[in-house]
Amino acid sequence: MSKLIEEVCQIVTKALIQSTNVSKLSASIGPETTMNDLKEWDSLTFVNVLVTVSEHFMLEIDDDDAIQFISVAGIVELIEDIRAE
Amino acid sequence: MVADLRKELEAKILASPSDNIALIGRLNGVKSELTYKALGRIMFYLSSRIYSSGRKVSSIGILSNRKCEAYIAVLCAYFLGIKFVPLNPKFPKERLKKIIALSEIDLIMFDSGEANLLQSFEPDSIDLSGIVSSFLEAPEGSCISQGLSQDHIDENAFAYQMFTSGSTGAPKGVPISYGNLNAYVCGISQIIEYRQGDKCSQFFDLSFDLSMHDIFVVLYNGGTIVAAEDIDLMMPTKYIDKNAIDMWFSVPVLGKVASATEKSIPTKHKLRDALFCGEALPMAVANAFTSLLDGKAGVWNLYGPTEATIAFSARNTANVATDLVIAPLGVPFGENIAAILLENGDVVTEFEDGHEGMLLLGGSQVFSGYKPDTGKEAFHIWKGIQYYVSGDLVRQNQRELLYLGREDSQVKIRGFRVELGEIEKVFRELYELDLLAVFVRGNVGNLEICVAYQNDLDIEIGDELTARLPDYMIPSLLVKCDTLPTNVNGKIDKKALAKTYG
Repeated sequence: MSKLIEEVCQIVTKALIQSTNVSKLSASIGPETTMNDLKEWDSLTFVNVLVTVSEHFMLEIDDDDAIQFISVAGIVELIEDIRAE
Repeated sequence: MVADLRKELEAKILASPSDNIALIGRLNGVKSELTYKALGRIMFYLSSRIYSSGRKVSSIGILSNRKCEAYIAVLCAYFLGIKFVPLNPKFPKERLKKIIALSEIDLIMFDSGEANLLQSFEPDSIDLSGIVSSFLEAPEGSCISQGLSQDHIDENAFAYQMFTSGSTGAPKGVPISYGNLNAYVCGISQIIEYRQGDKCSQFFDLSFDLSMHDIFVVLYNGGTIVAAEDIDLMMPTKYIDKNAIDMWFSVPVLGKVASATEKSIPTKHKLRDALFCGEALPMAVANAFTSLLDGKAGVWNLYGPTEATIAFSARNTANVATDLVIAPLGVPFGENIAAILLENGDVVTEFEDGHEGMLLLGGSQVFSGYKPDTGKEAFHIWKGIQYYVSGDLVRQNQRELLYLGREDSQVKIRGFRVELGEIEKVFRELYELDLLAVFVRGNVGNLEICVAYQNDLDIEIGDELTARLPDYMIPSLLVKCDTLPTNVNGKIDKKALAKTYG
């Protein structure tokens, strides 16, 4: 797993734990994880994931790109694209 | 009610000031704004294509969702007097095929995004996006707008047909007549104030009856329909700001998302009114939502089943007693008449505090019966009035209705009506299970479907299940039991299961 993927997994985990007030998530977050895979990542916590990840990586997210925040792979791809610009 | 809603609405569209915007949303895949004038012209252009080559049409399926094409198709069919049936592209193909057969669809209108899915279906089809393109390419003025609603249509004729979950395993068809829709649009417009130019949310899928409110009530009152995209459902406060939304209408769970989102993305623009319908509205959700409004008095709870055309009663939640967890259903509006069927078989129509029983719905919004006929009696006749038996248990309290729960095994998941029996039937068929129970866990507004079974199989949610059931009917939990718990009558004890796995 690349360093970036690992970091994204950690930040998504942190955002979900913060917004659901649980001590541990029902499943661990990995490179393949999407919003459908665990109950804590839903429409109620979606924005918190977006805001926490954007703040951590200091990203400005366009409205059209927000949909990428439904999976770890989507977030990683977006960060790589923004960094490449 | 007005004499003829169809003619009145079309006249309003055609006479609207030239710069009034009717629709904001994707048109041919591009974010667009369509004026009332352009809408009138494009409908007329589409109608000429429907009747080209002498085609005879009695039932139109609309394979499009939350796009300008979908609204144009709905309105065109409505004004022409042809019954339309929303076909939700997100539903499994097999379910859509059943709906096409049950509602005798002979023409499907689709947007180009659904061209692949269309290949699975047999009826003749019209590409809405292609027609829109050729309309937009035509020289200005070459497409005249002329009324489509010139012929008289009987108020009992069907305007549209919705399909809900049915306990027998097949979707249940609910036809709504021109008269039903007329009564609803006029009744609700008397109690909720819509103003010309209001920007109005459009979150509901077309196959959800509440989308008909978004289209017909909004256009009747001169508002603008703002189609929400998938991302807007996850970032609703951004949608409010970006589009300067005035009127909000959604299921309660989306209201909860908006209140939660506001903490991270606060709104600068405030809503005037918010309407909730589709499932029980927790007062905590209603109260939290007031921070998104420009005043504190604009959160409404609407109640009504599809069989009574969208909503039947309404209640402003501003002065609800503080001890209530769920918002009251309020009082029937417009020409609606409510009655309560008591346990002893009596019916009360004059309300007195304390009466409890099954809510009966009467008046001109109530449908005439399922189509095809389900064989089960849906009505109760009392003193010459035909009432729809809602299945909702209520208590009369201080001249309004309080919701107590359901009498049967029907639940609401994200606003969708789900018969647990339908899920049970699919599981029996797919996995040849004899002993199983479908139950729910969680609280009102946040229910999850669970399936417990007694068998050696290790069942996982996979393609075979998602091919048969829409996503909101897919269980969140599968439990394999050595022995299912039973109650004193020897029946599977769903309450014990819900307690154990809740």
